[in-house]
Amino acid sequence: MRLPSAATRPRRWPHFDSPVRSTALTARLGAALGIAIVVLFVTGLLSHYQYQPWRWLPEPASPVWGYRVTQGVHVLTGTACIPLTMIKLWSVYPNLFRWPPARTVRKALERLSIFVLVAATLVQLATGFMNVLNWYAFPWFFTKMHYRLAWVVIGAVLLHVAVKLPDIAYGLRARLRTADVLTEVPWEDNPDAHSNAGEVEPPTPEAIGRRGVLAAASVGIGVVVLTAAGQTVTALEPIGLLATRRYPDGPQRVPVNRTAEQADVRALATDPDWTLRVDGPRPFTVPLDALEDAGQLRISEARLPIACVEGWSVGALWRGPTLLDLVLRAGGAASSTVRLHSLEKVGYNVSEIFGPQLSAALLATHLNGARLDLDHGYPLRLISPNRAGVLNTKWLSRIEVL
Amino acid sequence: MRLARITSAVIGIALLVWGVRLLLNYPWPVLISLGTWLVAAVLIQDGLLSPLVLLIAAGLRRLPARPRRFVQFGLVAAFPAVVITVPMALVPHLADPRDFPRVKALLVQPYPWHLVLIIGLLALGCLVGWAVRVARDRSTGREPVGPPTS
Repeated sequence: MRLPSAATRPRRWPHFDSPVRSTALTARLGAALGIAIVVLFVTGLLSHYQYQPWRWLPEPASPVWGYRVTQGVHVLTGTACIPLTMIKLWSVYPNLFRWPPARTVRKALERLSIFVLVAATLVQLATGFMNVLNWYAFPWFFTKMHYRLAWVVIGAVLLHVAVKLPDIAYGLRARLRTADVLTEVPWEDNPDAHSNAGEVEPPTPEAIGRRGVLAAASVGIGVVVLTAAGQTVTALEPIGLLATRRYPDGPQRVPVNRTAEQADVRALATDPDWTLRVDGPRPFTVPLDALEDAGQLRISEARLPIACVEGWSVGALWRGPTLLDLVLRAGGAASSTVRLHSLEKVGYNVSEIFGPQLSAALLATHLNGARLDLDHGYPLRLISPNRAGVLNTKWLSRIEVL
Repeated sequence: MRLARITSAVIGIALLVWGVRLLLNYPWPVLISLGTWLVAAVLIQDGLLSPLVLLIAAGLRRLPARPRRFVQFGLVAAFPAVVITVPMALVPHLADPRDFPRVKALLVQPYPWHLVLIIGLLALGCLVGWAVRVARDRSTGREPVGPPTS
């Protein structure tokens, strides 16, 4: 089936004559964006795996900074991808005004696939950034939608690469200066398109050239990454102008995600009659005053990062009894699966831990030398290395050896 | 190349179908909301932001070519910081204030001032670049390139 021809093009139709746009420029921007999206997908899957690891493949406990790095890379890459995607879309904007929009059904399907790619990528990046900002202006549960939409994005990217591979190959091979000029005229009708002409004469530079656009975009995105990385990389905190969190501003120099007020646990957590119930083959309880008693419990200290799914992380000194000690006392073993219950009634109020993370876990009573702050999980919280922050359950009330 | 295209297409379509299948587990109201967001994202990007860029570019054509190059460089370099910082500055005012207690240490920095600082530094860099270019052109007797602006 053939659709209307170029002869039916509307009289007043946008015309793009800037020589800056080129398949070579787009290919370079697209290559960077494609690599970034693959990084996002892989680090995103690693984060998703934290929530439901398979029994035969437990999360490792080392390196202790593992999740800190992967999730930090995920959020910083996602942040960089927002302007990068917009610049890439600018570079192909004339394609939106190709006339006719599609000459064949195949071309129409190609344009539909591009709409899916662009729409899904923009929504994925925007909502991901909104999650980092704690602004949930969308009517769905973020984590689940972000995971499902990620498959659509990566699939659409691979399909796009398949469709555009000849253009990509030409664009990456061609010299930026002498590559074609990208306009709204379809390749078949454009004598300057790479499919029709060889190397074209360098376009008269009106002002900024193609190399200038790439350089400026690199500088701008580099500045954003450097000034945002302070929320993950401690050494960059002093220049963290665009960091969403500042750890020195948090209680005990650690930011908080969910406060005791929001979790509605203030009264329960500060109850002097609070006890920790440990259920298993030999159940027992631990009263509040026994938590810090080294005579009754094996107290340990560890310097571990706490890393949030929103990309921020900070190292801290944690102190308290080891979880494994209580598990063994309750009749469990290092191979047990342990379920931890919070005083909070909703949300991530229950978590499970097993394998190396169980063996390395602490039940923290102290943070950075002081008794755990109420908003950090007083009287007791879990802290385990290489574990998403939300799974380090706060305001513990019960431990179950399964 | 043919094999690479076929492989990429087959894997891409498979992953795309898998993703759509996962999304279809949502109830219809959520899918309609998602569809609205998808269409709105494209409309905002292609119908609002891109035309705005074209408008700015058209306005810059009044400048002579040589300084225009550096202004364009500065605008492109500043764009990422603006896109990221504006939501950071606005969200605490748009969202529920109960979601932003001080203990969270979330979005507590003066982002508008930080954006001014970043743009200022970029502008300074562009100014220095332009001054160096002018000095170099004068010393070599080279005329600024570009079509006449009048």
